[in-house]
Amino acid sequence: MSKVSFKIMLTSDTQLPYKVLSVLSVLKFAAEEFKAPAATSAVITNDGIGINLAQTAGNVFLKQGSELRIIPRDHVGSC
Amino acid sequence: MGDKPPGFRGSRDWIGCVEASLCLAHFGGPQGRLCHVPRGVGLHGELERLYSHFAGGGGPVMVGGDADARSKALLGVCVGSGTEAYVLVLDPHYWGTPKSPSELQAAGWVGWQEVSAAFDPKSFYNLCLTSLSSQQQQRTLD
Repeated sequence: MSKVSFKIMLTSDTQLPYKVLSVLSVLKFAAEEFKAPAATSAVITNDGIGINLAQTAGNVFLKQGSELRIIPRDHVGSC
Repeated sequence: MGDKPPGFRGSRDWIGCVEASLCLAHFGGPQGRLCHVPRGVGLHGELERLYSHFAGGGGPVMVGGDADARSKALLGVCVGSGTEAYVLVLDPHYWGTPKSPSELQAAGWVGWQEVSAAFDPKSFYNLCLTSLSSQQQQRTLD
């Protein structure tokens, strides 16, 4: 299946710049809305499947749907 | 896997159950489902889910937290009368020549612990419940 991306274009700018939305972008925005630190947050589905932030938001939507959860990232062991 | 920025490799940044579940998916291992336990809630609310997981043939449950970042894995759960509950906890730091189960237990590498003692109420926890997919289960039977 080819990847689907959300290409958001700023049409008020005559140069028509655009951004391609990644899951990381969505996470950062959502985390800011919840006042949660994006760097220490992760995204999972409602049934607990972790989402790799390297994917595009479109790919995540197609594979996992649109209902997601933010959880804080945990530590294991010690450095 | 691309989930971390380029400077992550070789750094001392931390990883946890979230990254473990992504690795399992990436490398085709058992499925790892994540369950978040908020700070202060404790594990009592998840005992029924853990019991169903193990009773249904589920594998070890990896545990990570924040205030409590000591690595541990759960291998079983036992619910007693009243509010008594115990979890079978494995310390994954053991290395070296495999010992017998009784030697490992005597040395504290695996053992039953009361739930309230094993988990810090000041910490949140992420649990990674591992289980084989039906395809993987069939391969082990063949």
